[in-house]
Amino acid sequence: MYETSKIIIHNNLDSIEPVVEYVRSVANQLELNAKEKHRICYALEESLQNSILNDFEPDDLEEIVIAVNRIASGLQIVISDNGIPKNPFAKTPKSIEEIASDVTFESIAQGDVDQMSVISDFVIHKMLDRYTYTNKGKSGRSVEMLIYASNGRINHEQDPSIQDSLYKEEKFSSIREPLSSDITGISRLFYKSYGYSYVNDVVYYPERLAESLKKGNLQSVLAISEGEKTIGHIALMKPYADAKITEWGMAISDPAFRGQGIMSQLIETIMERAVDSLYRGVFSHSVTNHEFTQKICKSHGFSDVALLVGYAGSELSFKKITNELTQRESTIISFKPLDFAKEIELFLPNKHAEMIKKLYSGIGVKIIEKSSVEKQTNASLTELSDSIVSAINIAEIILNKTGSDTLEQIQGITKKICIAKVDIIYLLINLEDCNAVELIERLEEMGYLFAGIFPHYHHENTLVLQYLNNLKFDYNQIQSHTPLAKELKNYVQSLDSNQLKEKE
Amino acid sequence: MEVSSYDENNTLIVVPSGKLDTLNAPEFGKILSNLLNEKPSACFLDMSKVSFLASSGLQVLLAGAKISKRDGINFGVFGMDEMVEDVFIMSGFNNFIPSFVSKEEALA
Repeated sequence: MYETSKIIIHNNLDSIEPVVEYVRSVANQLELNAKEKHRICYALEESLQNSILNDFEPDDLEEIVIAVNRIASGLQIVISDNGIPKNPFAKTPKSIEEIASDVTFESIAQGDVDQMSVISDFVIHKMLDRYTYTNKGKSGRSVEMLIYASNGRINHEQDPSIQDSLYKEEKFSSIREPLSSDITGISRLFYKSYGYSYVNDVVYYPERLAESLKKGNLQSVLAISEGEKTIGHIALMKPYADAKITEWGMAISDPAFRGQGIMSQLIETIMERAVDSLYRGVFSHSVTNHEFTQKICKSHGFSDVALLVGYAGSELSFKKITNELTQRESTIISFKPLDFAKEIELFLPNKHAEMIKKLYSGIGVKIIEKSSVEKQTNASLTELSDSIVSAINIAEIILNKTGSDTLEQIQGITKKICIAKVDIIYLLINLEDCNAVELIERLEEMGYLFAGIFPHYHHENTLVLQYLNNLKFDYNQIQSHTPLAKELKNYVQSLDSNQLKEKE
Repeated sequence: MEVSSYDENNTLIVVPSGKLDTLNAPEFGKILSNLLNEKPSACFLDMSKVSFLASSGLQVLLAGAKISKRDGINFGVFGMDEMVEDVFIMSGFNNFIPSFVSKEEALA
């Protein structure tokens, strides 16, 4: 079975076709269907051609490295080079209509590179499951393209009523870790409850699910019936590959077995696993259309640290239950430290210092504010990365290192993501970086809102800002359980000048 | 790439062939612009010979649609193969430019 390969070409247009043909041959070996093969090859050809034509000095001979990786149920391509970083000042329209308003035969004849770049990003984003651009400072830049095989999905479930009748004499039997024979059962369990609307779509791809379990990115615990059926699931999930924290979630039980205490046993088991793990903390995206998850978190020693407005799509729905959400679902990040210093020195933005200290206090950490005297001048290059999570239509921008052009770069990326009609952008700021903290006020002027803190999420001490892309929220629909969550909700609401008022 | 054109039932049919990519799009844009400057009552692009439609090619189609709207020219495309159509639809350009399966359907 094909696994991985790397191709190095020069910035020469003649190299594109052989590379695309090679990737097509790799795609043929995987489970991609004709359209998926076409889409990844299209994105590759489009990206390489625009890059070679526009992003290198005409006489420079440069290398472009293309990594072609098989992933569970899909194909990932990573293009790395030393081309000119994207222009953050590029005028960026937000819709096809706006693109059309800027496009003229004259601009095409003149080869308007910025216009070409934003429309290319717009089109490629629509074709792929993930498309990420990373500016790596002195190390160049990279683009990640990823597409999943749709035929790796589970087959449609039988009529649930037939299945339920088969189960009706069975009882809950035990809690255990999954065996390879349980994988399809997990997928079917999610399908049975959510249809295809569950946020984390890995559950619909048994091969990907198996891969995640094998790699340890997912640590699942199952509830099993007397007849060895998978009737409940819960998991610890790594939010990204080298994360030091884990998320508990993907909690589900078969409605046919309700009333047998399955969920409470699953939760107790997964909390014990988290405490026994080597992670620095465990967190939950607690939904806010009800308080159940927030209550569970509170009873297990979690504290609320951030309110991510509109984190999940409004289409999340249980099959047969017709209570579709009227706005995107906001989540409260509930956090429990497992190995954390009791006192930390951080730079704090004056405006939010009190709230940040409160949120840290909730997880048992005292903050000592670093004084501005200790702040240093900044002459380095900006390093940040952005990625779009298509499944829930959100994006993350991680500010790794500030430089003199950080604001302009963030502004450019924000606009690029807005063009792609992504609903919410979360910007992750390092509270140990005095220069990053100093930018917060300017970022708020740009439209970013305070969301809270998120310890060990990409930075050891992360401040989360959020950008709501032309969306209004009714904060009355956001249910908060703890006093701190209520205070945080009121705080975020007070900062959101574009919220939906009751009268609207 | 090559571009030909002909008149049928008072409609200008433009037939680009080959790859409508970053290299070729500016030239195709010039040709289409000149043809539309003659103000035909209708102009349809026969896309059946286009094997690759890059974002720069989509820009040309948009520019053509925009000029046509301004000048009252009935503008559209037809005959896209499945993969070219996939790009056109996935990127949402079908909401802006009328698309037809065949010439007969376009001219009906």
